[in-house]
Amino acid sequence: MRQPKLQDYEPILGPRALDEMRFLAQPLADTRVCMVNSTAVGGGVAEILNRMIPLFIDVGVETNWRVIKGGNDFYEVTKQMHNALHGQPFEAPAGAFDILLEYNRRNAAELDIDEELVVIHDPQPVALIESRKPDSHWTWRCHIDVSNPNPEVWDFLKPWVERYEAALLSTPAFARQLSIPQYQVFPSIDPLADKNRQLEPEFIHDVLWKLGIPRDKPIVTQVSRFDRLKDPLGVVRAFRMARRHVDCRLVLVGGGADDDPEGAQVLAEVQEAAHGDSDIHVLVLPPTSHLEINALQRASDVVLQKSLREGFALTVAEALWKGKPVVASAVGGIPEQVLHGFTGMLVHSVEGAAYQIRNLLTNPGLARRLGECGHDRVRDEFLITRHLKRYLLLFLALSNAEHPEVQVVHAGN
Amino acid sequence: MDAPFHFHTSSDLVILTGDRATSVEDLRALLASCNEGCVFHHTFQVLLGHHYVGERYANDFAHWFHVAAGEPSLAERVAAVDIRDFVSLGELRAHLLELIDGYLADNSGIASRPARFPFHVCRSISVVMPTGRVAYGLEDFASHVRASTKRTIFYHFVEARLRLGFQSNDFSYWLETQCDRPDLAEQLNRLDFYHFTLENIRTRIADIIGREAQAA
Repeated sequence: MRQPKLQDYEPILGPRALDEMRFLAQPLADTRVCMVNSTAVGGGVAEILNRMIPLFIDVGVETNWRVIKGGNDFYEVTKQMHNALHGQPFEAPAGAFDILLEYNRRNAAELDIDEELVVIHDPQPVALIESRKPDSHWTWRCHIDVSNPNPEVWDFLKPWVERYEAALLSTPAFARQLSIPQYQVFPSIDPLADKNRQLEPEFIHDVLWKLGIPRDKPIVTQVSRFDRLKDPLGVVRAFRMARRHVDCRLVLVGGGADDDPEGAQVLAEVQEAAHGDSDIHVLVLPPTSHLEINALQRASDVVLQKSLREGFALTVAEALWKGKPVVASAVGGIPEQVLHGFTGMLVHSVEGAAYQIRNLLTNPGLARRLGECGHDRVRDEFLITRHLKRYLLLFLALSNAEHPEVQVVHAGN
Repeated sequence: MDAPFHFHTSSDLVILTGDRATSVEDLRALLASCNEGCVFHHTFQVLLGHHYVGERYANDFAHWFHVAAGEPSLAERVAAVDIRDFVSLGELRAHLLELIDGYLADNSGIASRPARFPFHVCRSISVVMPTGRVAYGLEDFASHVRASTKRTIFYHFVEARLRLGFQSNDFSYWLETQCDRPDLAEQLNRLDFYHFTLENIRTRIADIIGREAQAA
């Protein structure tokens, strides 16, 4: 697949915005950037880096991506830490933090990071800060909701985080009290990726036909893995409550659950709940089914995200980008995307979700206006190009002493 | 003309303070003690992004008083604040506090009532760079305005009030002091950035100045 170029985004953003991006990148032409995370494939961080690094290079900023290595013991610890930062109990074995630090030391020696601007993603490589070279600027990018962490894990992590020049968080709701500045950097979707790009109506029609979904009545869709925190059983209940008043279909679509015993259990429960109901379609698609998911979202009349907990929930941005009216829970990063009554509808219960499904299916004018406003909000805030711009601005702000033409202005006192 | 006009671009980075208010009195306390950059963020900076939610109030405080604290009357009073009526962020903050205090004096029972969701206090910093575009006369000026991003318009037309003591904007100041055109300066200064989008403002400025350049 051809790597995207900034120019490819001109039909979406217009020439002025692209010129501005190239302009902002100019002072960074002799600066090298390094992004470090813990996986090259799979997961949202790798997906964003895969798409964004070619854009950095295209605007003239040399950017390297390094991935740390670890054994099973390391990944067991980091998985436990991840869950604990989401507020769950920390169930790692004794000496877990020593395991993390030891792997960080080995990786630091091997990677020998000497770039001037370094972004460390998430807790796994957090201790690489120990190898920071003089005159380099290191930031810690946290993709996790750390607003209510397990204290044991946060007490370990916080002193490491505070050795960075700044922390980057996805939304104000995730912010903590830290001794370093915390910048807001929204995650993003790529409008040119298979998940989001424009599709021909015939293609959408064919996908739905192949998946066995008739288009004889309005379609309500939730895209999410089969996980209790996505509340798929609540979605089925909300759909049934709404269907008493307005005829519609429900599509619940998620990835396979082979490696996740709890996911398989949840999927079985959903299939059981939907059994015998020809208006409910439970689909399990391979993880590479980006075009199919795109087609399902585009064929939908309402998109749901009725989660009980969320990170940023980029599936919401994907639906908004497609101009769809969204009904979503007010959790995690969703309220940043769905401004209630303006770019979608926020709900707090099964009943609320049912009410808003009915509301939007019976008020197509309102649904269309929300979809249009939602599309504009994603274009302004949650596209990969805006993400790139935020990084460029951050790098300029951090290194502005080296660029006299760049002024960083703090309003007021 | 003595000096040409240098176009700049300014983009914001949002800093999360980690402070959050869960009641009207909480927000009052945070507003009283926060960095002025926070007042700037929640009153000025929001003007950039909310064109697609035209019915939403034009500052974050008013919006939160309405939808989270459930105090539409307080929201309306705070929404009516026009940043052009003040000469500093300190004065703007003092006025906002006065409005909240006046409301709480009549409605003391609501001061500590929990809001539906918290107000997260943020601060903006601006990264400013010269674009290299320079106008030596009205014709140049109009064509550079037309080619500018909305960030450039925001910097010179809205944010400039902070540098100029709130009474004018960079474009009007240049037209008045360097081009001896107080009439054009006044026309531009009357454009209402609360009700026009920045794209609209850009077109109107370019049209006004373009017409004058042609007539000259």
